[in-house]
Amino acid sequence: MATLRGLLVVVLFDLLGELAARGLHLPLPGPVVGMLLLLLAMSLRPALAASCEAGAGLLLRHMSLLFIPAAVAALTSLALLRVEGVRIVVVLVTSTTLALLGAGWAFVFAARKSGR
Amino acid sequence: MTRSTLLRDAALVGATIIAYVVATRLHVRARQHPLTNVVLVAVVLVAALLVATGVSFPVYTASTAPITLLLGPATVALALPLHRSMGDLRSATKPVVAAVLVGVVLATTSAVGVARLLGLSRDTLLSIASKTVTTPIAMAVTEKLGGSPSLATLFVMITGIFGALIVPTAFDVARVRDPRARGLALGVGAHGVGTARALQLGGVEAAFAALGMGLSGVLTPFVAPLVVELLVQR
Repeated sequence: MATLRGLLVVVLFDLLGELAARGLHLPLPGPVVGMLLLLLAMSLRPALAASCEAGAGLLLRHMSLLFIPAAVAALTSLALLRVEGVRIVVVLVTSTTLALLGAGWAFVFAARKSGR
Repeated sequence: MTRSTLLRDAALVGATIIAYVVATRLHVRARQHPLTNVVLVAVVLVAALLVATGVSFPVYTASTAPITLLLGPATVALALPLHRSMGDLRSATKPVVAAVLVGVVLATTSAVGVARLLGLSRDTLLSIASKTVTTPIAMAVTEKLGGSPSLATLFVMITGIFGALIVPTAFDVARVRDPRARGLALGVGAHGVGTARALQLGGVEAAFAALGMGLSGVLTPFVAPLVVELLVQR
């Protein structure tokens, strides 16, 4: 029952986020709004974290399973990847290296400045 | 819906779950090497099955829609690990906020900027903007931007695998030695794959990677549309 209760909580917040995003014409995707609302709700009522633990944990543990159909569908874009593939890899390699090192340096620099 | 399509849907959903289980076992056996990425291996298995049985890709996508439907609730569930990481955030607020801001802005602008410089198509630009964030959020953001969520999945996967492969060597070369900085950068720069890699580096790295991934998931949906607005022509 604990798993079902947890699943119900995340499904309800997903619905709430979707309604808020559409109703208020937010520039954010519904599930992201739902995530932010749940985060807010858990900080106001910490007991909520424990009650959605089992259900949310199930989804988090097997999250990779949920991407498989979308990743398989990406293979239908083979024509695009044949033309742009090499350049796309250049973009991904450059941007990932920059983000990793940029974030690392920013942390070290700010830690030194704030003395932590 | 006829009985035979129901049967086909069930078979394809089942095959996807089996591919996931097989890929997960292989990943564990390979001591979680980034190149044995679970999604990557499972995609190869499923694609081989589709080609062998003559099931078309659109049919597969339609049949496995129930799996994809769970992405919304899974995105919401990301609030839980983020909620748990709040203590780590308070322990080093300034460095964490600085690293997440720099990482997310740098990842997004460099992805769209370099892609545009190299003359890539509009569809690619829109689908690559949010490639540094965790997959369910990247898919949702890409859909909102008008790109292809499935292409985004591919870009996110390559980003994570590459990021996990170059550490800790890249950190050693760049002299990023603080384990908190290493973990945070992995979570921001390589999402879940980076977070799994951080777990192999150590406990502090893992905790900060989870925090970095969570905060980048909060910030990227705000930053990506702005960068697209600035850098992609209508």
